[in-house]
Amino acid sequence: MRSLPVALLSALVGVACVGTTGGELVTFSAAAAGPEDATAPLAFITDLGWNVTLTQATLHVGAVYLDQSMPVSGSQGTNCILPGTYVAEVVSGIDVDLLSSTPQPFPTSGQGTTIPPALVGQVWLTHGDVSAADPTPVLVIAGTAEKGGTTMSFTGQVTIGASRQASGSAAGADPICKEHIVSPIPTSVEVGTSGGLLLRVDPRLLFVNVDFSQLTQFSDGYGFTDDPTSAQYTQPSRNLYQNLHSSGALYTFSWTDQ
Amino acid sequence: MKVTMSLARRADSPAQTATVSASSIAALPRASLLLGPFEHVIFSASAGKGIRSIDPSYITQDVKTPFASITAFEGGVSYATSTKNMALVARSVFFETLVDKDLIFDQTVGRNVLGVGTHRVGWVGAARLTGTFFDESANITFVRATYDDTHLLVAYIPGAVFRSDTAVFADLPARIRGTPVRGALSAGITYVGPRPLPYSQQSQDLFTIDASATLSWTNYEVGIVSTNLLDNKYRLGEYNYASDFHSQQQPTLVPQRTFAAGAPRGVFATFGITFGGV
Repeated sequence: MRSLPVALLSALVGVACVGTTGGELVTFSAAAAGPEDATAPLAFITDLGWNVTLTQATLHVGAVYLDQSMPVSGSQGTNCILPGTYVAEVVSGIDVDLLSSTPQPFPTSGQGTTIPPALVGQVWLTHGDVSAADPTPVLVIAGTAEKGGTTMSFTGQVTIGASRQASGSAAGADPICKEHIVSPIPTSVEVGTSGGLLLRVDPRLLFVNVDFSQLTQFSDGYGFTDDPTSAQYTQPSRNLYQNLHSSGALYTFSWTDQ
Repeated sequence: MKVTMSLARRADSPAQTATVSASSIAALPRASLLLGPFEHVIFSASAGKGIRSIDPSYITQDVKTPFASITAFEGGVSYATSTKNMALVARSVFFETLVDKDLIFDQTVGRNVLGVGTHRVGWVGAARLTGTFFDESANITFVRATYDDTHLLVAYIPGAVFRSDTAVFADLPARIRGTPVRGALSAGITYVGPRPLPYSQQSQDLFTIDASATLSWTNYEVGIVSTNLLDNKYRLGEYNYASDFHSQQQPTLVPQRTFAAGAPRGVFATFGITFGGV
């Protein structure tokens, strides 16, 4: 008989505590890589007909985030931090070899929630504070481009330094964090309790509408210019930088089972 | 019952105001059935409807019913007995409560907001034992609160809560001017079980003991009071929301566990003078 009250209390505690509020907080592994068909070197033909062979393509990803809400198209400019709930984050940086299809793990695990699904992603291209100029290049490329019998060896790098910020904050210029952050990247990722986040970056899309014939000639070859205030900052350099900020197919998020 | 609510909101200039009001009448029927006493035992059952005013921010002009509707059922048994030196009252009640539009705490806006319907089922046990030199009152509640639409748990509502208040008191042998000094010791014990948090998380439980000792003589009383006597380090409120304390180079933007620490042990000395009747 003495066990009856104990059993009743145990049952009540059990009933009171059973159930969840929905969703889970999870820790997951994260990695970044080039496209699935990446090789080193990577040969491809651009939309302007250039036969490009990339021998180096390294991108520094400072952090990645996934958010539940897509900013409304055509509305006022977005902040660097999106509205809505962030459902995943990886806040450590990695230099990604874009010529390798093998996932390269971020140094630390990501954090996230299993609900709601992510509709938009952000790639933060910085080595440090996203609100400050970064003197270290985030993209380094090298290779050759050939068209019509003309072959050009090229190199290039992209730095998001002070020169990238539109001058005059009083004129309503965007803060430099807008230059560091590629956003919003449409995606459809559901963070799971197992598996991990994979970011793939396709270096071929960095050269969309890049006319290699207008590359700047240096003493040791051709190259992209990294200073937007320079007179040598021409179409190829401008388009390379704009492509790097393209939120289209250049960056692809997926949730992997591994 | 008639409820009238008005909401005035300042517009662009202090001179411009917008006012909305709504009123409604609600009947609050309740029926109870008592059977007994049988050997000091009374069985009871009751059902009723109630209302709760909703947040004024949800008031629109002439809204039909500016309050949430509550339907409650309960059934229980109580026991009461007494002797020359002691009295005991105990009761056990099972309850069920349905709220059609519950106020739910939203950690994003930092206050309660109007949500969907909720459903609570639970049990309350309470007892009070009173004697010539002691008084003990204890109650315990188990509850399971779920949303009507998803049947998921309502966050922040603990599944179990226990409270006990105990006091012993007596005249001490010491006398001053012929009047005895009266001593009292008391303790309050609180236990709050783990609370469900958003994203299927659970908070820690909470256990504290408050105690006091007093000496009183005629109109004067001195005492020492300690809150959180065991100096337990507990989390008074726990939440899951995005917070960034710049602990690393890039901000943390996904929900993280955040808590408000409970107060540490407090020791207070008191001195009181009672004016008027003693």
